[in-house]
Order: sequence, then C-alpha cells, then structure tokens
Amino acid sequence: MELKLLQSYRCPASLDDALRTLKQDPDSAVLAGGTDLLVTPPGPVRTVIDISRLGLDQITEAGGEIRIGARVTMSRLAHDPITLRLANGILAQAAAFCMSELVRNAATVGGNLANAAAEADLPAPLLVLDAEVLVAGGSRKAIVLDDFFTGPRATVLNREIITEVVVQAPSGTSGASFHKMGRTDSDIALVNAAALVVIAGGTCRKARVAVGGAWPFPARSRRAEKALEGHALTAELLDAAALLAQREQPALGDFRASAEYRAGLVRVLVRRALEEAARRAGVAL
Amino acid sequence: MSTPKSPNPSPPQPNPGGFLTPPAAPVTVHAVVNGKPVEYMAGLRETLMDLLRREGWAGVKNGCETGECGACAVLMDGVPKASCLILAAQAEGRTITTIEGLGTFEALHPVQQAFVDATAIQCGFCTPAMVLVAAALLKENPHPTEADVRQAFDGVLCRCTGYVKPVEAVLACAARRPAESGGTPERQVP
Repeated sequence: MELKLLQSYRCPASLDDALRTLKQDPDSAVLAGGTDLLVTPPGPVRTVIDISRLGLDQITEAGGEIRIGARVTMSRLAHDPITLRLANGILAQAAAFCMSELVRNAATVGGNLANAAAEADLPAPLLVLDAEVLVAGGSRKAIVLDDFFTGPRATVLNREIITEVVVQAPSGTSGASFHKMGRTDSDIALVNAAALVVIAGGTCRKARVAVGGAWPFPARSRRAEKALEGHALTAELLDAAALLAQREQPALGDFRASAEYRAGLVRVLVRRALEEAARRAGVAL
Repeated sequence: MSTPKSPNPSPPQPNPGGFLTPPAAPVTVHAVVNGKPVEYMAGLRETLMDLLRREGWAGVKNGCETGECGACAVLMDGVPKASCLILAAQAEGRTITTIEGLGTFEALHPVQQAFVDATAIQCGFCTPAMVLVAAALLKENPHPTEADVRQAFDGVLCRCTGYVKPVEAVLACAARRPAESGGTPERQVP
C-alpha cells in the first residue's frame, strides 16, 4: 500500500544517523520489515528511515540470558536453535504461526513490538519471559516489556529505536506454553495466551500468564498469577486461574470477534496454556 | 506523529494523504533482476511490486497490496517476500528473482514442469508465486513433507485448486530428485 505522503527515503549507515533523523523529523518512521508500516501506517509518514544497514540481527545466548536483535525476523525466531530451546519454544512457536512465510521472512521482532497491535503474537510469550526492550535515543536504556504498551497501538517509545529484546531462560523446573486462536492457525489472533510456571518443592514458585488480542494491549494477568504462586497446581486451581484471567480486564469486540467471544477465548486459552505449561514442568494434574 | 486515539483495538487505519498528494522525487535503483544488472528509475512511493510490473515483469501479480495474498511474491536475495510490502528503493543492491527468472518456455524450471505434469494450474494467477515459493522451499529442503509444502504455500492464496495438485506437484518434483547422501539439509533462515 502506498505511503501517500512519503517525501524522503533514508537508509542510514549508523544508529546515530537514524536517531538524528527520527528526532528532527516528527513525521518520520522507522522501516524494518515493512509488514505493518506499509499496510497501516501509524500516522502521516513523510520520511522512512530504513534500518536494514544497522545490523541488530543477532540472537545470542550467554549465561541463561538470551538477546534478540530488533531486526531478527519472525522466520529466524521460528527456526533458530536458541529460540527453539527457550521455554519449550513458545517464542519460536508464536513466530512460526504468524501470518505467512512471506510476511515472516520480512517482519521483525522490533517491529512487532513497536507497532503494538493488541493481537500481536510475540508480546505474550515475551511477557511471560519477563522480557526487557533495549532502546536507543533517549536517556533510558531498557524498558520492561510489562511497562512498554500503553494503549491500542501505543507504546512508551518517544522517538527511540528498539535495538534488542532480552529475556532470561527460566531456571529450575519449568514449563511454558503458547496458544492462539484465529480464523486459521496462521491468521491474525483473536486471542493469544502464554503461560509459564516454575515448580519447586511441589508448589508453583513462579507463575506468569499473559494475554493478547482481547484487551487494548497485550498484558499479564496478575490475578491469575497470584492465585497460582505458592500453591500446588491442580486442575481446579488452573480452572480458577483461567477464570481470574478472564476477569482481569473486560474483553474488547471488533469486526473480527465480539467481546463475549474474546472473553470466552481468554478463559479457554489461558486454561490450555496453563495445563500444557504445568505438564511440561512435570506436574501430574 | 500523534498516537491513535481510538479506544478500539487496532481499527483499520486510513492511509493519510487523501486523493491529492504532493509530488516526490524519483529514486534510482541498482539491482540484479533475473540475473541481469539493472538501473531502474522508481517513484519514491512505488513498491517493488509496482516497479517490477512497470518494468515488464508481469509475472509479479497485484492481488491485494497488503501482503495477504502472496501473488506478488518474489525472491529477494533468495528469500521469498511479498514485493507489495517492499519500497522500490529498498531493492538497491539486492538480487531479485521473479517467475520469469526461474525458467523459460524452452527450459522450464523443474517445479514449473511438475506443475504442468500434475495439472496444478487453473486460472494461473497464483501460479508464479506458488512456483517461486516451492522452488525456494526445495532449495533449502530438498525432501519436504506434505506439511512442509503446505506451510510454504500458507502465504499464497489460491481460489481454484484447493492446493491439491500444487502440493502433489511439489512432492512429485522432490521425489524425482536424486536422493541426498545423508544428513539433514542446512536451513538458511532469512
């Protein structure tokens, strides 16, 4: 789709050059994969800043910390041995079922976060992994993903560029799961959900539950997490946690699905994700 | 840019600009297209799809302009991508392959031949994209499963065939190749 107001195409060789343009031109936008920018630009775009020369495309693992460059594509996330190993591969799985191979070969993790669609697939698994977003261009270096989204397609980014996403591999006995429901398995999510549980001494030491697609932006369900932490996981407790997740926020309706349907999906997908995560952690339910 | 004020999650955003838009200076794009170095003049706002079609590569089809149908698929440095989501300017220094670069009437690419043999072509509109995507798949995975082939086609919408014959064609093409000596093929990820 045409960016009708485009006046200038820049392809800077350095992050500093990219940031300079981004700050000086209020109608400039970062161009990574282009799979969101060229379809639903967030506003009038008169300058695109193509960041393809800036690298930012490595996935590294050291001491349990995984760093993913902002320009890493969905395809790469879906197939890289590091992401396939990380937390039962939930990030790879979320990336693998996003839209289509053609889109996945171009779409980037940084773009998926910066575009901040409520139904984006990468935030939920990243949220349960306590991800941090590293940014350049402002005084802050890192933003906890939990604090990153502020509204529909809105983030705390202020003329900054995402450089990396950092997660810690879960330690101890853990299990994670990702579930998504769309019209087809690679279509846009109506609702997606991710869960992570860490088990110690027979009880759930840490629980993370995240939901996308149902609310104005992807977010954790603190109520579900609190209900799980400190307790032995049983089928009844998972039922209760899924219900709490459903009640965390009122679900939104749109042309793809009604609020009632999304609310129902939250409960079902959280329940499935928790069950699969628990089983993967070796819990007998 | 101001952030959207709508309370609804991700409403379809109108592309600002309206009917009358200010002119923009053209760009020169140097690339290798179907094996030949080219220097194209492109509109700043043109997508790679529009540029390629204007330069005569009509095998690149315009089906949706939003990256959802796959008819505009090209190989960019060997990787299948939707050319409608790439600005022409982004092709600078890249290698582009369209269906015209894959095979000719005199010398069909093996995947093209397989499509013909399997009668996998009906209206033919999605066929260039299917063939390109299948060729790219077989290059990195010479012995795909049916699931692999179906996943490769997940970005190319076909209203005619139900994917039955195209999938058969790709599997038949793979079966005709000499068997690998062993080990799993190295997957090149974009």
